[in-house]
Amino acid sequence: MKEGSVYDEGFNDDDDDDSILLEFESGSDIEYDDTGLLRRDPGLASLSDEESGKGGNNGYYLDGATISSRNVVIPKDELYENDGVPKLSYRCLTTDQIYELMLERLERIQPIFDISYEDIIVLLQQYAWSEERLLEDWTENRDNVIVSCGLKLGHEPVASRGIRKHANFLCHICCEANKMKTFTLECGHEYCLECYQHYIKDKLLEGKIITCMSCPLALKNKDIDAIMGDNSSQKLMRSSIKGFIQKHSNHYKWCPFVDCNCIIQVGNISTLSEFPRFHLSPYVVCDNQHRFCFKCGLESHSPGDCHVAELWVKMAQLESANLNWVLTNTKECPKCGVNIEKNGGCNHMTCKSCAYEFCWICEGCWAEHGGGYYECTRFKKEDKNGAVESKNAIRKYTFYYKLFSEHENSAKLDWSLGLTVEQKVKALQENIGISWIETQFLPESIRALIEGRTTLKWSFPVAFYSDPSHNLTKIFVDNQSLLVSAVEDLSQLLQVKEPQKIIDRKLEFFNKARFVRSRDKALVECGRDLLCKGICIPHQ
Amino acid sequence: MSQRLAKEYRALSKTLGRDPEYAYIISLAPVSEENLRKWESLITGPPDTPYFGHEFTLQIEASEAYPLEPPKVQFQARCMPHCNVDFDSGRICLSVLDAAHWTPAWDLLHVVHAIWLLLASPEPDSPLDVDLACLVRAGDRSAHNSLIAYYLNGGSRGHCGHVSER
Ligand SMILES: [Zn+2]
Ligand SMILES: [Zn+2]
Ligand SMILES: [Zn+2]
Ligand SMILES: [Zn+2]
Ligand SMILES: [Zn+2]
Ligand SMILES: [Zn+2]
Ligand SMILES: [Zn+2]
Repeated sequence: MKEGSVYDEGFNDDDDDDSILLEFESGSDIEYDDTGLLRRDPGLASLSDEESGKGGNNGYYLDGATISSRNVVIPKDELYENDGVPKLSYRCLTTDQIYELMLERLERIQPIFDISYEDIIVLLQQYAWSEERLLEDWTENRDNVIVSCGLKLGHEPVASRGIRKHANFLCHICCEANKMKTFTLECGHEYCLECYQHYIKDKLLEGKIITCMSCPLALKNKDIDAIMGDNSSQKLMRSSIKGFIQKHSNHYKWCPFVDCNCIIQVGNISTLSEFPRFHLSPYVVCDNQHRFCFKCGLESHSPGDCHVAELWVKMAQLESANLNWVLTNTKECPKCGVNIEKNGGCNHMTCKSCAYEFCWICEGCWAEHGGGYYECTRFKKEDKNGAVESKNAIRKYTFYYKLFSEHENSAKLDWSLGLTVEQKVKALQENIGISWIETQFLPESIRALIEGRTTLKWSFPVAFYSDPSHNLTKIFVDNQSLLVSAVEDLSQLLQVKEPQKIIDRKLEFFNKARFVRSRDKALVECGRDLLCKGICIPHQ
Repeated sequence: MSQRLAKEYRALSKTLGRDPEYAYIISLAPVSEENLRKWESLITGPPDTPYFGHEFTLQIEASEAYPLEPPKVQFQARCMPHCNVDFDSGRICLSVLDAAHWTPAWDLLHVVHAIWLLLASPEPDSPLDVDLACLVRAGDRSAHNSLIAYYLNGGSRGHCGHVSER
């Protein structure tokens, strides 16, 4: 959960006109629990406590049903800001934290299953951590679930399991005869420890149940750790949780920023459908201050709403499939929904997860595509029908797209600038003896710069879809150029390298960054106005 | 792991030529006795398929980590028209050859057998040859079979584009 935003932490002191930029922040209802590790909002906490009191299993799952049931508990007016604008309740987690939550949850549901903690982990792994589905199947046919997950039924005779010592063991995998240590499960398939270690090492990142090398019997976490001699099972759990997140992508989204491992979990996902009405988007901010749209999984795209962003991205994929644009480089598999990265010009995609083959451009099944290995013929046909009309539209699009990608590139440069700012802050502290808090105007400036740049970038799609003859569109374009100059000004100032000069010009940094913020906000407001008044109409 | 391939080689010399289940395998052996990592196999096509009466060469390469890793197996290039085989390279799409589905308990005989079974039952959902897969999907067995027969009997085949690996 975020505590407010970069806008209200002593940087921008005129709080009263923050409405447009702050409406999604849900800072006020956050609590840290006693461990300080898991941050949860009281809605989740109180519900789970209540549930554990009853000892029941209904109502609070970590997958789909978990959170939707929460909406019943919270009074409706708490889900909205004062002006009726929907408010998103979310928290920022890591895979490890989600796993911890799973284990906490597991302790509560264990009494339902009459099997060990370790065995339930195997079951949950098989069910992609979906308790609801597991419980359903469990009630229906317990034995079936146990066997299909590679566990032994209680009444079956159990041979000894674990590591064994020998003088001279012939291992049938490596066919070496001098093995001293082996591992075996109840099935009696016994192989040398070295073979098992190699076998497990390769499987840890797949996140699926690891079985005996000869039969479907499952290795439990303690087996894995015993064989590997460390806590390797944690690696397996981490990759397994990744599978869970992919399967529940309506509640969980990875932060789209490069090298960021944050996962945002939204509590009240039913609220998501309320945003489009207001031409607003459900923005979330991860613990690394990355702002992104929970609906599209894209970086912040204001002043465009999700509809603008969606159509613009689609168009970019259609018309500039060859442009190396990072935002279009991942797509969900049309069949199984797993995220797929495109890493080259070829449009023939094969999903790693379900092996479905499809065309990157039209998302159609590749096999039905016929002939066209390099170009999507479906799209080409449409193009011919559209004749001259579509040619002009493409030319106009290309113009706006160029501007868009120009700011995209600048934003990338600003990112690297941001990295050097960290060193500057250090230099200020060391060379001039300034406290950490006093140096914060620098990172704040860089954030204002990057966010301003992002707004600029996404203002071109809005301009593209707007009626050019309308007066408000002209005002919008004027606002664009005002933000451009504010951003360029600040960007130039951030090139200053000498620590003393930076300190001398502190006020200038402060003012210029603040100016960018206010121009940014003005452009966002104006863009939303265009959308609300129907002057900007996104279309295909 | 060098013992393992040597043992398979010894075991095969007993099995092949005796077990009628593997009568279709003309040979399965290392290319040279010096290097047990490179194998070749000559098989005949399964009965009741357009491959029957034809012989095919499989090229097999076992890595250092075999059998913990699956062997690399492919048909000789431009010899096998099949919806799960890339005609130009001979690459085979078969789940047991995939690291995620491979089991170290399997051996090279298993692998050759699985490929032989694939010839009789093409898998149109993971196609490497789109044309043939479309015919299988459409349920047009006779067109599918006669197209294969045409290629096998020397019918020319244009460059079929590439299928990228991802
Ligand atoms: Zn071994
Ligand atoms: Zn076993
Ligand atoms: Zn992030
Ligand atoms: Zn969005
Ligand atoms: Zn897929
Ligand atoms: Zn297409
Ligand atoms: Zn290709």
